[in-house]
Amino acid sequence: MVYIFDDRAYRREENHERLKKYTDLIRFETVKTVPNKPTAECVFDMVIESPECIIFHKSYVFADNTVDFESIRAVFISFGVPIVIFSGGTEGANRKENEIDINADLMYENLPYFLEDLRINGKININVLLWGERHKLNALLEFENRIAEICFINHDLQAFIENVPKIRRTIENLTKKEFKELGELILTDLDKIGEPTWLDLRNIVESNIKKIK
Amino acid sequence: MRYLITYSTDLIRQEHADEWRVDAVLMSDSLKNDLSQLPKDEGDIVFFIPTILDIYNSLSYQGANLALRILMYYLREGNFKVDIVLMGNENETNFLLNYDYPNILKIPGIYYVRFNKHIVANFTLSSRTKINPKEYKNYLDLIGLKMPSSFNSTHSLTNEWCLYKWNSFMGFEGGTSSLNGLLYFEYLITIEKLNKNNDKKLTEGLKEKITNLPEGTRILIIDDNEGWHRFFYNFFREAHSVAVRYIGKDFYKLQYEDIEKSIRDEVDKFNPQIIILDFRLMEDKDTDMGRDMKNVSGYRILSKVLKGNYRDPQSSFGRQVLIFTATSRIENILMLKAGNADGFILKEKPENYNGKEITKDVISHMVTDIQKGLERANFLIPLNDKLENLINLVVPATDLAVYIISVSQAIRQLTQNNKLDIDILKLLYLNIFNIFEELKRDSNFVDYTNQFTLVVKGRNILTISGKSKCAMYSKSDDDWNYKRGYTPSSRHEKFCKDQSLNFAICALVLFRLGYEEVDDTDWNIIRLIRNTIAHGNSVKLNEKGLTLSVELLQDYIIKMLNLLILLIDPRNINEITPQLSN
Amino acid sequence: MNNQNEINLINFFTRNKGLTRAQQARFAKLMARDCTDVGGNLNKNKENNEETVKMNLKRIRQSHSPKKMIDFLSLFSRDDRFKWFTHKWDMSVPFDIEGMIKNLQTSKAILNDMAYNDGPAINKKTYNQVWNFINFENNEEKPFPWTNTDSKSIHIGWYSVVDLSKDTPDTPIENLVLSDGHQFKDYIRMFKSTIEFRTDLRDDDRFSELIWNKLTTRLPKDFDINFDPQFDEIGYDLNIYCDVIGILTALDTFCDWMTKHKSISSNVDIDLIAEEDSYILEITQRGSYFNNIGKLERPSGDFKELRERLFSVCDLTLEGDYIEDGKMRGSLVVKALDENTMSEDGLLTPPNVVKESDEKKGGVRYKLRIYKR
Repeated sequence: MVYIFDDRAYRREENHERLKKYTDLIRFETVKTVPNKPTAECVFDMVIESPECIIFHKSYVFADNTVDFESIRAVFISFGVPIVIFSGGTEGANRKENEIDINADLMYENLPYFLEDLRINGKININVLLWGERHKLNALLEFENRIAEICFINHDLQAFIENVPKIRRTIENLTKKEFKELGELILTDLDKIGEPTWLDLRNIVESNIKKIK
Repeated sequence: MRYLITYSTDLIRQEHADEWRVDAVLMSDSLKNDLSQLPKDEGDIVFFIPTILDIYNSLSYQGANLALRILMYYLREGNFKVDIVLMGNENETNFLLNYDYPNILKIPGIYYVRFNKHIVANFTLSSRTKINPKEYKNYLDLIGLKMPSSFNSTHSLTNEWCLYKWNSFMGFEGGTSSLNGLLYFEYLITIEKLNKNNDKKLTEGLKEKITNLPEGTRILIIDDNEGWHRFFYNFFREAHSVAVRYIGKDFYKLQYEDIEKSIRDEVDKFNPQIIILDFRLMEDKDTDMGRDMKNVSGYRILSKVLKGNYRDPQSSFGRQVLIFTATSRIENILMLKAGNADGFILKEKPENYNGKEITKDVISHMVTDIQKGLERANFLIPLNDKLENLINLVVPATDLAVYIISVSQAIRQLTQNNKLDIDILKLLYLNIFNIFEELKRDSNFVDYTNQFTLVVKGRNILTISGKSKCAMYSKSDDDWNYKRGYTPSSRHEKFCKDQSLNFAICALVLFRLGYEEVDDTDWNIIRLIRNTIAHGNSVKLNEKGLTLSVELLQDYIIKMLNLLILLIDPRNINEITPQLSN
Repeated sequence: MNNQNEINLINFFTRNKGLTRAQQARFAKLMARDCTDVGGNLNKNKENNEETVKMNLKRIRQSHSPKKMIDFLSLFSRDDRFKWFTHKWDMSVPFDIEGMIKNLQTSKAILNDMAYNDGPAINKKTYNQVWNFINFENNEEKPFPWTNTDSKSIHIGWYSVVDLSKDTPDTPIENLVLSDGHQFKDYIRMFKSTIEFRTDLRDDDRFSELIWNKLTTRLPKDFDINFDPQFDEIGYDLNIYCDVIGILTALDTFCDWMTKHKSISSNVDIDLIAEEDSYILEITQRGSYFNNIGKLERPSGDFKELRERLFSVCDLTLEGDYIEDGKMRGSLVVKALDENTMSEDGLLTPPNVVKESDEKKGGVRYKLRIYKR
């Protein structure tokens, strides 16, 4: 179950209506505080049904001013539940280890894709929430950038690749989760060249990315 | 000088500078937060910046955005000799397809290369003609930077943009904006800087106007953005005749009821003539109001706390409330006007910025509004106070009370919606003067029992006249300065027969209030002015050295009310027993 | 050297827990001889110090405990006193480096307790590895180094950022740039990868990649190295606390042994098996065999060093065919480190060598059982 805590009643109701076909996957909540009970605990009490992802509005003003997000975030992270903080003041989307921040409008814009993806695949893909329709593009760019860091940035592109097996392995690892087909295409083309250079590899990667896009 | 920006010292660090043929390697994380750490070289500078600073957020193209911010920073600093080389891991076509602002490469001095040590080390810049500020502005416009779409961001952006423009125009240090780092905001302030005409004369006239505000001026600023507090502090700093107070910076923590209370308390304590009131005092909650703008905090404060309405005015009805807002929606303006706002200070909106300087006009208009507001407030505050006072003094449900209430409502309506010119003031004058007529008809004060007997009320019943006897006299028929004293004359009988207003008021003044003579009060001038208005003949007024004018009317309206209060308030009774015999 | 310096020296030696029993006894003897020649004050001190030496001659008996090691290493993820050495500070409050410095001796006592007392204990090399990174009082000019996963000696630790952080208090510690141009976060990452196999650092820091890189670079190029698909499947996403340097050191030794026996075989198989409480890494040199049971029963040289290095890091078992004087004698299982292994004053109890059936194993297998939490 995905929980979303938004204190803006108007926005909450509007989106609840808009996403009504996903009520089995997402619940719109507000924090209901109980006197003499720490607010953090009140939040935890509300996420009863196996939380898979918590989406929280950053400027949620708690009556208990001593509570801030970090304590709540820390607990959810320790249980492996990703927590996403959205705010009108955040620009775009940003993911750093366990901290995920996203612009409020963008979050609501991407929410339908995120929920649809959850319905189809049965598990949370935070990247879909962050990037919406473009999440695959982001993942592809991520692959391209990671390969570049390892292979192309610091090497003389005309030089021969010294440890081809290692590079093969790297490509396999980087593509095995989301881009298996791409990985196989790259490796097949790489194997055709007896003594490939870094430039050969770069060209192979680019041409195959173009193919699968 | 050639600088390379890195996001990971595992990948590239200072010891690699020679290999990359750059002079220094800089860290992106410190620059992102503080562009002032950028080098301040005099000569040509080249930056090599990766398009991506964070692999997991590749689509954000944080590096390319940082490059734009760096370029704009140098433009604002007046340095037009900066070149930027974007280093990307994809081919240029894909970069242009994926990046939100592909026109970045149309800006002269911005290049794209593949992110590779050898390529960068061997990269040489072709010489280009330097471009001037106006051209840079056009290129920046061409990039197509987007306004944030959420209302909250837009509202915040408008505030920060307006603050920046006004601070910049006035030459004030604005402090760090909360929006530094937001690309669109930095774009706005850059083009504003590029357009700027640094003409000090523009502000001199304004500053003079401000310092010439009258002694005793009190202005209250109610705004939840502390940046505005700082702006107005600087704005009024040299005006020693003006006292300014600010509330609202902690409103974000409070519930509406607490905000209301703190405003009431402040107004009571400080007694300002002018209140500058932000339309949206509770940023988050106000956004949530949807279509119902009457629930917006500023409107609620205006209509329920400060002004109220003609029938049920709040204590600040006379104060001049200027609404500080960015709204351009006519329905909001009309709603606020109907809520009895006295004026508007419209914040500049970034989407309306077209390079044309309107700041001077807006600020100038604001100062004019303040000046006019002060003139109005100096009359309307005491006017409303005294009307309230009168209403509280009369015995409720009497004809006099009903009449006073009705006149007060009419006066409020008239003064709120009109300029206080001579015609309006004449109307006001006559309306208030009629309260004396009504007073005369109220047997709690005056009773013409028959055609020669006048009785007025103090604590006791005071018989002023009878057949051929009177307890007060004037020297001659046209001497209106009655004094106390027995006279066997029957001159008064025609006044009793006509139920003369003048005769009754004079009697009240001399015997209820205990004055020696009527000219110890303003009654005769009050009456003279009324007659001048009614008959259109100002000869007698002129003989007294007076001319019918706005100032005279305002002055004597207040004096009329003062006299009415004196007459009606039982605490002023200082009765003297009339002498009806030798 | 004056009297006080002599006394300090004596105290240093008598209180040094690193001395073996034999060394302590030898020292006591030497001191007894020397002290009789010195008059006055030292006689009194001699009596006191003999007493201290007698006390320290109490034997330290420690048991091999990879679980204890997990408790030790996991302090750096879950314990508030230690996790800030490796985890990003919560920037809502200012970073309290002064507090960490003040608590250093308390921290040291907690770690010492796990390395130097009786009972289940961690490996002292692991202790040094950790201590040399976190110790604020490490000598900046000539610090005690720690080792990274590339086997390089690293002379950067928390002591390197104390002054820097005071000069720029607004910069997050991990972003501070050191004199070598690295940001401190590079070293934090490096250190983290030596105390845990993790999946959120570099790709090369993952379990499967570290092992793969080590074996393929250390073994000769003409070796035929086969990784079972399960090795990648399990090993790529594996997250466990472990003395990574210990494991890599062990692999170095296995590679050396396998290279020595190259003439017998150059085929190596690697497998990874997941059990409920542990992972078993198996490296098999197909066709190889043991030919000296004595060396297995009484470890010396690099086998002895290997056992000491892996004490409390993981269980170590060797198994393989046994050929003596050219004749096949069945197969052996050598339990080099298991729950029965004890260390008494640094000396490990001998391994348990079991002669199994006559059935062939097909080669020599090195098994490391690496425990989960």
